[in-house]
Amino acid sequence: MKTYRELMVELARRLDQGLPAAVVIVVAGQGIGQTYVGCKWLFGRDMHGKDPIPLPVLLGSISGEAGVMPDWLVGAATDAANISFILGEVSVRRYESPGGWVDLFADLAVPVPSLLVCGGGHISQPLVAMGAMAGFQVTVIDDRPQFANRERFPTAYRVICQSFGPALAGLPVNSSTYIVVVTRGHRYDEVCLRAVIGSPAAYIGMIGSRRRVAGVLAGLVAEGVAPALVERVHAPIGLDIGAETPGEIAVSILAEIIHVRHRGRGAVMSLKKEGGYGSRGN
Amino acid sequence: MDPEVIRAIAAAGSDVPMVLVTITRTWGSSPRKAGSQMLVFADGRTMGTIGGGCGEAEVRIRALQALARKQMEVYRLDMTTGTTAEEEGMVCGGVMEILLEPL
Repeated sequence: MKTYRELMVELARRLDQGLPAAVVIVVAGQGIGQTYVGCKWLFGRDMHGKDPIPLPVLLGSISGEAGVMPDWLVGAATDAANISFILGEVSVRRYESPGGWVDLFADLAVPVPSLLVCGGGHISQPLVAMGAMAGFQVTVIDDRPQFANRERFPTAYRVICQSFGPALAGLPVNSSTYIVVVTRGHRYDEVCLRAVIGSPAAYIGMIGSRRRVAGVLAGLVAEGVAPALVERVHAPIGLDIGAETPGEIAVSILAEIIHVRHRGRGAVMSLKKEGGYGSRGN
Repeated sequence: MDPEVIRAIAAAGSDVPMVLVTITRTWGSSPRKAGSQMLVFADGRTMGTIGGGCGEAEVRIRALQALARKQMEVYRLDMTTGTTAEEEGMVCGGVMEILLEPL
């Protein structure tokens, strides 16, 4: 059992980490339910094993004067949090119980995912536009003013014209941050990777041929970066959809990011039999 | 939820008395949606907004009363009828249900 302030400190910490949270409060009650007015719960939302849908996880509660909270009430609070998470909705719901009812207010904090694009080149342009369309708050970094400007990236949340290292050091990176490294040269790719490799980012991807990518990653390991951290880098970047043009490559990259974010299977929806795609379309 | 308000609570010392004001639901036209939050401090200062104007001023007074009683309250701000709404010419004309929680 915690104090309300302690619960708020925990909640603020989650928000800083970019994790979703819900607070459920009994705002009204009748009969037996009246006893529980003022009870509060803090829920997170996490994946459970292979379950494709994340479920509420109880992080703390306050029973106030009620003392012990019965199972039906905790169950109702969990349900209210779950519905709010699924619908993305702040709401008040009534739950009946033997001998009364309670009104549960479920408040929500859902972090906006951010996409950090290192490099402002020809792939970044469609990637930034598509990322914004897919609901990401997009930041682009490049050290060249002719590449890092608003005209090139009108839908970006932020365009930063600065050297990659210092720019990345000044940006918040949390578990709802997705990072794409697509600079003009592997020297810069290395700088970017070094800056974010130890971060809690949900995704780090780097462009490049298999050979070039292997070289950069081996270099980081030689510098003393833990191999486990290096292994988490998605490189070469993207889903294998045969992308060739900048626009197609951007689709491939964003598809991989969405795949990671929502834990998709990455398979073709209509493909029921193996080898169903016999020939290539035009 | 308002992340800025939550962070302000977390950053404040545990001896700073304040009231967390949250819109729980609305009916009709209202300036802000459910989940909007505001902090009201003992000296009357506020942080964040639930829509501003005289509706917010009324809630602020109510919040200070809740703070004095140290008791949670659910309160309905009616912007459709009553002398305040008419005299002040409140533009939104809806109803907001507001949760006041002294911290």
